[in-house]
Amino acid sequence: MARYELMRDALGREKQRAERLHDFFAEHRILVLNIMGSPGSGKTTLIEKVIEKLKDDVTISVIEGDLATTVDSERIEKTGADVFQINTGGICHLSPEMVERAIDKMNIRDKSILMIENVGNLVCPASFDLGEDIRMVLVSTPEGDDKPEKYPVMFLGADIFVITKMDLIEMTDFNIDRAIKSVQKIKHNTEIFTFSRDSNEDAKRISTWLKEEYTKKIK
Amino acid sequence: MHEYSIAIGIIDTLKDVLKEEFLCLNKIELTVGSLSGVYFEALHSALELILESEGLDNVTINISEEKGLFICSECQKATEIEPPLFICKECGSSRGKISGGKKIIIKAVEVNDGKI
Repeated sequence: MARYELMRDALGREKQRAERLHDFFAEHRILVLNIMGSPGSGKTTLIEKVIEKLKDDVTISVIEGDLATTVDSERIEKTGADVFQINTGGICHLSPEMVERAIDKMNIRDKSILMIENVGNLVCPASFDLGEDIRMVLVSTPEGDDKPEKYPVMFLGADIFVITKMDLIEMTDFNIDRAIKSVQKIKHNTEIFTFSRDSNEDAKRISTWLKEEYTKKIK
Repeated sequence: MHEYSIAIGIIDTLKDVLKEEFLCLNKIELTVGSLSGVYFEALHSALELILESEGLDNVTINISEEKGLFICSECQKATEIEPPLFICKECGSSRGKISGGKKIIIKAVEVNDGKI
């Protein structure tokens, strides 16, 4: 019998790949967002609205992650942004390896924004760094204000928390204060936004914030 | 069930390190952080499933937990984090840093005979 002390990070390979992605994005001055939330939380809609606001100023590319179909990438294509669809088969999250393969096939411009829409899920995507600068987590009002408390690991890494489907809030018992307080208890410096698909102001606020982050990245 | 992806990573790492000795694998010891987002039972089952597919039916898998600590900026104490509360257990402050609890570490392995 032999015993070997290894002390190896089980995600070591994934982390190496993520580091390569961070280096690539830094070298090419690409601001990268990893957008996460449950299925139907409004990730694709938010991406569409932000592209509409920013497309005249910044080149935006999108990676769409789904188990199956090209429904989301077809929606993004209509905005004029470059989009690449990853179908994971059954896998419940995007991995840095999938992103590496995607960017090899894409033609992402230097000094641009890359929005990665992860597979809809509040658990699994939290464990994988995709080389992003910003983690954005969405919770829609019909999902309930208890989501941050129930899925704390996801919110532990969130840089931006967006409460979506604000136009439906009257039909739910979603308490904005409770949701915000739970998020701040997990990570006190998370940026917080509210969003309705038809609100020009909401899309503008998020886009302005992103544009500022983009400006910092390309300096 | 991202535990399956993590389990594949663990097995790949062990194959790399152990080479032919991988087939003599007897025990795997893991330390999993309480804030890593990994469900222990799911990781255990995923590892068993993959090991079986490699013809290894009798590998002992030990998973121990490493608690994440909250290092309080107010009272400077370090207390264990119990999600969903990310606060100091001493003074209740939410200002502070999280230390540990996020990694999944392959701590040690045992093989039946031979050396690396």
